[in-house]
Amino acid sequence: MSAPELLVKGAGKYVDDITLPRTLHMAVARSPYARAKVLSVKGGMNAGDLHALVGGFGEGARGDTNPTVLHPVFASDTVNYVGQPVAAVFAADRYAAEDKLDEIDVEYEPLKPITTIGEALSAAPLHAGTRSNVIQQSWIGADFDDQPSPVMLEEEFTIDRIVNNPLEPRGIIADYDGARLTVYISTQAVFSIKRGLCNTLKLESSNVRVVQADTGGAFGVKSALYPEYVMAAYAAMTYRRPVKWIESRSEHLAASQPGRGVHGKMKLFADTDGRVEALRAEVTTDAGAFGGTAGTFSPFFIAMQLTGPYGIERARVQATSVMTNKPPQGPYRGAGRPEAAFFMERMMDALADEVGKGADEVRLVNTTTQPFTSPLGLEIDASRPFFTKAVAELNYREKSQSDKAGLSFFVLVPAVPPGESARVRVQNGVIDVWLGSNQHGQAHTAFVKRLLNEELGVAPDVITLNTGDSDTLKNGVGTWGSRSAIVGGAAVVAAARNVKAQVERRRGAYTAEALLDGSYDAEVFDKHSGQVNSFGANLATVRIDKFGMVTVTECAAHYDVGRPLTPGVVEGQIAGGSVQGIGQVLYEGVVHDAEGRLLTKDLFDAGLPIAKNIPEFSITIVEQPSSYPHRAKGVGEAPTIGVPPAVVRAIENVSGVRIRRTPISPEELIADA
Amino acid sequence: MRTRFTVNGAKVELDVEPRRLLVSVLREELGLTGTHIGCDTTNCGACTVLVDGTAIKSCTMLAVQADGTEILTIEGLAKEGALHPVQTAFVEKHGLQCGFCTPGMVMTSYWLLSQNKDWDEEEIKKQLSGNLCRCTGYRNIIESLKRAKELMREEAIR
Amino acid sequence: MYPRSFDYFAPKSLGEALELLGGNPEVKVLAGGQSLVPSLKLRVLSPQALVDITGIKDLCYVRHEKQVLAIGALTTVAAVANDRTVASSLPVLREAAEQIADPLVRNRGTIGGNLCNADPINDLPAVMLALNASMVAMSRRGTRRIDADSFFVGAGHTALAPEEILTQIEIPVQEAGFGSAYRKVRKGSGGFSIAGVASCLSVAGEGTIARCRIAMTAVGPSVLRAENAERALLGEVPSDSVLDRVAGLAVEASQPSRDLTASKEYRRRVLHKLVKEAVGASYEGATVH
Repeated sequence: MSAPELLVKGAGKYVDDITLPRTLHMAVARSPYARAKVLSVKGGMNAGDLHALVGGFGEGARGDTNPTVLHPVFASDTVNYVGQPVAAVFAADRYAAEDKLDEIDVEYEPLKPITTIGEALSAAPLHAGTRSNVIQQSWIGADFDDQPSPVMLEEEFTIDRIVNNPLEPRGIIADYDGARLTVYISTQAVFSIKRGLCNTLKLESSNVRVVQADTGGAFGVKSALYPEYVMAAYAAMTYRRPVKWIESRSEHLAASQPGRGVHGKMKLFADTDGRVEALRAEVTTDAGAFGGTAGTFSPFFIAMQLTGPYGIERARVQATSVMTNKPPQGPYRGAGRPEAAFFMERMMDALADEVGKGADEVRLVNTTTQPFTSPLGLEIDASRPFFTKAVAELNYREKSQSDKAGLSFFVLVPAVPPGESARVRVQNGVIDVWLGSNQHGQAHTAFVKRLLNEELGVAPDVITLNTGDSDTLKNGVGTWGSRSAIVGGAAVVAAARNVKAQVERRRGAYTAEALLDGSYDAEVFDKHSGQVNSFGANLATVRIDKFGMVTVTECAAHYDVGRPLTPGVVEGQIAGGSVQGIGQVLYEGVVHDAEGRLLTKDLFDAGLPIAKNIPEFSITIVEQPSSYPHRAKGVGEAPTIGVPPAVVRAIENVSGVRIRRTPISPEELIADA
Repeated sequence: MRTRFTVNGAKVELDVEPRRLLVSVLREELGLTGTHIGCDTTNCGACTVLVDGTAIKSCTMLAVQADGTEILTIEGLAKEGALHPVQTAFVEKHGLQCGFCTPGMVMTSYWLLSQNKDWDEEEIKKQLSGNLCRCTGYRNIIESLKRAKELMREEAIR
Repeated sequence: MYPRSFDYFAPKSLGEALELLGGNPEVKVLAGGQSLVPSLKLRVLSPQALVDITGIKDLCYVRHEKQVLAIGALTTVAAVANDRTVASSLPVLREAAEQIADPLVRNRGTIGGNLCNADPINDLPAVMLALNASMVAMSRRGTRRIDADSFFVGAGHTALAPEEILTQIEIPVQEAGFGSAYRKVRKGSGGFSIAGVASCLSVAGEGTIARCRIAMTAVGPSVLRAENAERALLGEVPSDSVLDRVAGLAVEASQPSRDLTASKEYRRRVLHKLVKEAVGASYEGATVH
């Protein structure tokens, strides 16, 4: 990723800034129907030319999905969401490519679409060869007998889908020289893309190279393999010309993998002090029209985290992903963590109201004084010390009285497995580093320089973190799930120590001069897997005007980031993530009509927050070192986890309206006014 | 259609299809890829440039409409490799993460500062309403703008 | 994402422009382009030809003439919002102009473009209705004045014939005791108006309202006047109960529809509050001097 000094001059090289000679621009013809039979497709490149299925690659996706529910690259006999690709056209000029879409003639027979989870569960399956619209269903936690408790609280919550909407839409250039396919792409994970292309197009791994262009944000949407990437690669191989596809924002809103879109049914069994004895829950994702994406697997991940930072001894959760006529669901910053925290924190607030205790008191009673492994498999450190300190640092008691503040408490589970790779090469007095994670705004360069400075005693200016490139490492994972400083950092440290040991062996003792004098190269895949879950708490206050418009006045964070490797960057991550959290609560959703047509068609509809929506931020950092060699923990997703429930509770406190769904419309807050 | 304008001080004469957007001509015909396209409905402001000293969205102007104008893009701010104070401020204050909205933010900031008004934070936020950012949460962008004002004042005094 | 092809003309004079229009509905006038270009990009509109009138000199001005404030149709929304005369004598116009879209769009969008676009969510039509403005339309046959009440015919339609160009907006110069205000509500994260109200009134010596006009944005198939509400204000001092009654009449006159941003009921409730605010503020403006 280009350095900030270059980006600020407009000298970045995002994928659309890269020009190769003889490039063909690709435009994609897409279904206008949420569900239809495709009777015929005339024109363009279509299923007649390439019949292939897009398997699960990237964050949260897995390979083990029934092929009958996988996304075809080109639709063949059915289409299952508005925006699903049906054909592609190519021209030397992108305006002309769009004109060529007029030449494509598709005959559809519209069918009644399924647009809600409820409909999906009772309707006939969308895909032939499947028994129902349930993609996967599993249970975690040992079942228990429902003994009546003094307090039994049941609630249902919904978090609407949210389109990730990084400022830079998706884009790819595919180039084939007859032997090798080289792909430049806006991405979080060159290795996911590489594996996906090899798998879908049956290419040898050594014949595919994926290079990360400067990437203008991702938030989870750019690790998956998309049909359009496969089309571009296939077209490059067919036409022997570079093929460039740059998504329009409209396409991003319709056809990229949105996140959230989860329904939670929660039942708490508690005593009159609010101590929760048992949890029974159902988590259901609106996974969209195809399986194999994160949406298929995320209910299990959400379910696993449901007990959060609390010591709840009995829990059983049903986790289900359901198919609907919408684009397949994918990860969006947090990717299951915000959902889990939202459901539990809303219940904690409801429980506080039920037993007549403060929102902090009822949470405190459920914290643990020892490390705890929940019945759902979530490992946490003792949560009481952190929470007690958080309540004090956030000044919750006072703000609860004076400003009706909302409070949240959560655990961040970084996506550590399966580790990460790093390579450190010393040559000609400079150090080049390659990482399996691919930064796109998180300033990995800064932590790499710091860690190498600490491990090797070298000055930051001899170190270069190179761009993600699948040719430069044997293997790699990617940037998501708050993992990069943790596992990427661990891999960098491991590679550095490897190089240091090489110097010691060769020169008898280590010095930075000895290092820079010689040539050394070390690549490691670090499988470090120690528990590195961290706690966080948020406080929020709001004002609501007579139109029901909410202003978040204060958003305070108290997060354990372990040893912060790059303090200025941590604050920026927290501010950015907090505003996304506010967006989730107040503005952002994906709306389809009964015919499955997308109504949220531009960025205003999509609800991206603007500058005047931001609150006063305050951040206090706790530094509980992790067990990793660099002692850091994750932070990227913490604000998207902690901010929404805190803001929602503040809105409840001020408006008196019980909130069960995001986004909240102003209308529901002044219903009785 | 023959179209003539100045970009970053250099005269340009091109034959362009009337339907080509100014942003396309800047990026493709002129290779000035610092100006970005982030949306197709005039919302995001990643395409902001100055035309005759006024900040506008170059995705919503036809290139032929730029005939006879003076255009300033992000590439025209730094002089001989030295960052403009607005750019220095953005780097110093972490006003960027992924950098995609940044050229637009910098150009709008430059335009705002050129008006020499004493805006408070409320007003700054309103003036930024045409520029979207997904990464920073805007806080550091506002700080960058304030810092830029300080740096420019210092430079003017020097 | 990108427009279809079209023929393009950039006349340097009004005469040339009018020749080019020739009454062909497939030929569209291009000014600032902040409504037209987005439609071209989404291929919602694909006209045969565009006549770009931004090269015509002397259509950008805000001029005090004897009986009217004359605004050239190509004056940008930003220039209108920043104009000192507008700010001091026509708060309704400044308040509406400064809240349209965002500062960058306002730097190119023109007052003429906003009025001719006449989308129900455009703010300036309500302002012109409330101000009882006249639109000056030119064609090859000559000039005519169309008053605001006749100008806005329906959603996206004005009384302009295909061969006419709007050249000037004329706002009657107001006597003492005049007050005006524009109040609107939009989604917190930006976007089009959910509802907007333009209120103009004159206050007689005893402090009662002698004349008033109230117009409403985004609560009907096109811009609407609230004539019953206006009548209910005449001779009154706008106490809270009077304002409530007036707002109720305005809501009755509205025909809001449901869309992504708001239900009908919410629009009505918002409208009710906005009418009270706008009328209250314009009364205050009238009596403060």
